[in-house]
Amino acid sequence: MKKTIALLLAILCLLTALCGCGGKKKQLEPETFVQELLSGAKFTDSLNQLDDPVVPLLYGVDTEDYSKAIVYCGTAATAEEIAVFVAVDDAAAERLLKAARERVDHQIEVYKSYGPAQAMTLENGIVDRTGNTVVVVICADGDNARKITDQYI
Amino acid sequence: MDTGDTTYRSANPASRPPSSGSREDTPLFTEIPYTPSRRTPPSGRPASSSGSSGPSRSGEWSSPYGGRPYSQPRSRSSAPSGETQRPQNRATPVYTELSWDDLRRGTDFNSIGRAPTPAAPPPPPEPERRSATPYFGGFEQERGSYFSSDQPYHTNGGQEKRREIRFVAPTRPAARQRAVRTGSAVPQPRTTAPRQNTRPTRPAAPSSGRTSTAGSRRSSRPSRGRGIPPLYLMGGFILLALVIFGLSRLGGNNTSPNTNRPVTPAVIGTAEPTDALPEDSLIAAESSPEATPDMTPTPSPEPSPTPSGPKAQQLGDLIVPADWGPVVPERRREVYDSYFDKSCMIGNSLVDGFFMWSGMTNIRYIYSTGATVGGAIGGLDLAPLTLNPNGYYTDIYLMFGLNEIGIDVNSFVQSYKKLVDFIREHQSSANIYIISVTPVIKRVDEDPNEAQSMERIRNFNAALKEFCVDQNCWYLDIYSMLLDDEGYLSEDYAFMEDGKHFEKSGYVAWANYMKTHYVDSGLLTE
Repeated sequence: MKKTIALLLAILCLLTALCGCGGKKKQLEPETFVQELLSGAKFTDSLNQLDDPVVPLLYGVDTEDYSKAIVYCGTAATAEEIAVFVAVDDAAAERLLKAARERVDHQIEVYKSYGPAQAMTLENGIVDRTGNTVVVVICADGDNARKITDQYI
Repeated sequence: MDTGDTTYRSANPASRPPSSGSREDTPLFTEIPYTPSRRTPPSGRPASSSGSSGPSRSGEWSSPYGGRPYSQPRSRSSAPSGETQRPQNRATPVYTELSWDDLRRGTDFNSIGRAPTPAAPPPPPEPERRSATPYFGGFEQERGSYFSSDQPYHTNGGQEKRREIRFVAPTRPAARQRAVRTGSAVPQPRTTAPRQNTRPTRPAAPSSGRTSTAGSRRSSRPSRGRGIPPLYLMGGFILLALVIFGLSRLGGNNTSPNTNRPVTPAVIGTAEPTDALPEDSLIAAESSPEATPDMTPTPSPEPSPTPSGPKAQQLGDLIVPADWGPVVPERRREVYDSYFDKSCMIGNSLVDGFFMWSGMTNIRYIYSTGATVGGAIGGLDLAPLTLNPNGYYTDIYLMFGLNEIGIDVNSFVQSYKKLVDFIREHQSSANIYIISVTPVIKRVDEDPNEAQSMERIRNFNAALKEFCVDQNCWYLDIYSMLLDDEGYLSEDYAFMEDGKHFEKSGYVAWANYMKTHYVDSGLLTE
């Protein structure tokens, strides 16, 4: 009996130790995430936060699909931008993710002929989802932007 | 002199306001109990006693507060000969009113009211009288005329007494009476004598023959200083000032190069265009010293560059530019964002930035990064123009040029014409605004690898203005709004990384410019 209990405890400790080796993800807070990107990645454009009424028009989404949206855009000289949507549910998150991908794809098509460098930036951009949060990061400093994003997603 | 008479020398009636309330508050007369042998020094008595009793009730003459007004004296011929003024109540003490000057000069009270004799002592030096009585020359003159009469005053009847009464009293009886009581030399106020009282105070005409030594002395006294009313003096000074001012203005015009120009107010010279000028230009014209000579009409045969006539005119459903040119003028009122609910903006990446940062989300935006005017038809989704009914949009803004500044300007204009024709085909009643090609920063202008140079941008904009005139479009000149002092895109608005796009502040400034530069029916009358 004692041997059995000791074996189970050893297995539990081993499992716990193995879980720690899998990497720790931060809980994504939109404001914190955006500020960390702005400070940790180098954006060539001067980004400012869009007003709330502009966001659904720019992304073509329904405002009822998200409870919070933080979008930073540039001067229209570049394609750099940061967008974080907190969807109300899983279906809304899927719709938001789809809309974000369509926008980036459209931007890629636009910039292919106008600004190939911007098109490359767009292709290296991040359009992902973690839980009900959808994230878009288009940054010329793609490597640093990816590192920061990987801490959350 | 009839010693039994009571002589009333009332205060100047006109110096007292008729509605000044009770006369008990304003004693008017200095009363001297009369005795045949000796006149006692004067003592004050309220004017009400004399003003309300005696003469006014007797009907012989009336006070200014009742009966016949002083301004309408009875003629001397109509006065009964030998008429005397007697008090109604014989028990009333006899009073003789003295003027303040009499008191100050120490006049013998026994001689008051009597006709002066040639043996009368010479008057004191004139400067003393002037200093003591700076203003009451009217009194002196009048008394002189009175005493110059050969006839005793009591034989002249009430009419003569009325004339005398008007000018004896000071303008401030109360103060004067206090002085009489105390015997002190109270400085007499300088007041303006009413005109109607100064006229009768003039000395009698020499033809009247009523002259005496004293009368001659007083009549020969120069009336300047005392006789000239201050009103006349003030008028003279004003007239003199006007003459000097006019001479100075005339001299200033003579020194100007345009000496043959008529001396005309600047407003008259530009009467027609002034009505239509913007307010700021009016202010600038008025405040600028250099603009003043140009405002005067000149006989120059060269036509004035200042446009005239209305700024806009009605052409069917369109409000199109008039004589003032196609540039959208600044309006007096700023409109709200809702003014642009039926507006559409088509263009390049600058429209993208305007959409994001102007705050006017009610505008229908059709844009694409890198869009050109030549590729708009077919390259942009113009479905909002074609699918919406004709007349849906009231204002359509076109913003191109940044991406095709390197092409030929005529091609650029021809491409614009195709787009305008397309818009007119589907939205025929919309005002079409051609937004100017925006400037770039100095670094971009001097970079030979950049197609955008300020010279080319200016050429494009000049061509766009002509195009607007030909096509009845409006030219929205944000180019001038975005310039800095050196003539480049202001760093306050520019995105310095590329030097062509704008920061958020630039788009906001653009939006604010649109809110004050718009075309509506009000422009037809401005």
